[in-house]
Amino acid sequence: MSELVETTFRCGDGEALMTYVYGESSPAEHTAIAAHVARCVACADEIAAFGSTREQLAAWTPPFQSLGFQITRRDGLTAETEPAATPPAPAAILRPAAWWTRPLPAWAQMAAAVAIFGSGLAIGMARTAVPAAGEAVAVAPEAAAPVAPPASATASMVTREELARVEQRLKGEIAQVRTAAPAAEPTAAMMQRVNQLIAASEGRQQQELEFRTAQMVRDFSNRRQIDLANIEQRFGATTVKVLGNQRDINSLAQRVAYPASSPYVP
Amino acid sequence: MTWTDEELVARSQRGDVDSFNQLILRWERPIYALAYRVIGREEEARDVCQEAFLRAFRGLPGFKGQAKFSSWLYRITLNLCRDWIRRQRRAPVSQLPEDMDVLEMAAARGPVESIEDLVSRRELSAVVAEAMALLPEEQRTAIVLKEYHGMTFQEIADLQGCPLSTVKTRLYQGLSVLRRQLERNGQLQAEMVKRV
Repeated sequence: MSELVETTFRCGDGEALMTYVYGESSPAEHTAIAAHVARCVACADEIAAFGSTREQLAAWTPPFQSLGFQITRRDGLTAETEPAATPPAPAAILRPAAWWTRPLPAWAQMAAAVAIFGSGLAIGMARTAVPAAGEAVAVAPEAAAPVAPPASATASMVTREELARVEQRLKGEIAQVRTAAPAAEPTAAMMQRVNQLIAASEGRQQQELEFRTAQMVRDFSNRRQIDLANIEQRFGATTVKVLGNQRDINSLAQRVAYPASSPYVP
Repeated sequence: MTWTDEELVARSQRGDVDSFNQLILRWERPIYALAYRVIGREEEARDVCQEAFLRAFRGLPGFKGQAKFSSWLYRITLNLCRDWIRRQRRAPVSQLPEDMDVLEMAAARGPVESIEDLVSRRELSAVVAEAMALLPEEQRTAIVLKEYHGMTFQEIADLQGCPLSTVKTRLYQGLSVLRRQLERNGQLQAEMVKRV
């Protein structure tokens, strides 16, 4: 890239001013602009105004959104099972953060409230719907009669003895398995794999921590700028009020000192 | 161990989904911030962010590494933002030609809100967002890439597909409009203070 380096600066050259403001001008260009700015009030003011505008731009931060996107596979294959040099399978979806971590929209909250209220109302109505005395007398004999279990239910019922037998059998099998397979010592490969996983997890957490810290620092700085601006503004308003009060007091003092000249004295 | 983007891309191209998820974790905040600042809406920016990563994942086999992964991702995101803005009929941002003076147009339209309304949401962030929304998309994107993502003029020119001088002009015009708009807001607030 061979770009002609200008050694003179034309007043009002916006492009050259941008390279100067953002520090991307060549040394010769920088010197030329700096020399011009030193004697041109208009350009100096413009550069100062750009600096102020850029400071204000720093206050614009995007609102927090829970992101946490992840690529997941529908086929359930893990990466290790796929052959090398195979392009990623197209059957992939981008899963956003879990829905319960995201704020519910207003309509969903309203719908949930209506559903809870409706179900409560229905339960309450069912409980308060006491049958008439005649109906109760008519129904009572049938309800009091012992209900015989259906034949299929009787056949499938499990007795206490059967449960005890199953429990004994399971205990025996578990004990057998325990004696047959003593706890295996972790192999070196397994330990290495575990260490790798721990290192990867720590790395991810470290990255996330660094990012969050940087974001907090940035947010704190922006918040501070906004608060300072608000304080300055409120201080100005208070000063105006104090000056107004002072003016009123002076006016009253004048009227007290010179009652004859006051138009309010009859 | 921290992998570089290039290493994670290579592993992703060999089918390691976890590596790509690490890339997502690394880049989702900047990409979301870029989308939000360009299109100006939270939920839509989130959608654009998700779609950008999905397209990047699907396009991995075709990514040969001529550019940085982040530049490639930024390009995908900006294309999606541009598509979204084109589709948007009632866009929150003005689609103005670059030679039109936004302030003159706003003055001709008259004040759209009272000073009290303006003061009620006087937080600087909201004021800046409003001023940015007045800019044409190209100027806004150039400013966002420069101010919030620290790109060089050349990188912005590559992303926007325009000459270097055009980037500088867009930045100059955009910053000039922002400067006047922010000064105007400051004057309104000063007037309000005088009236108290």
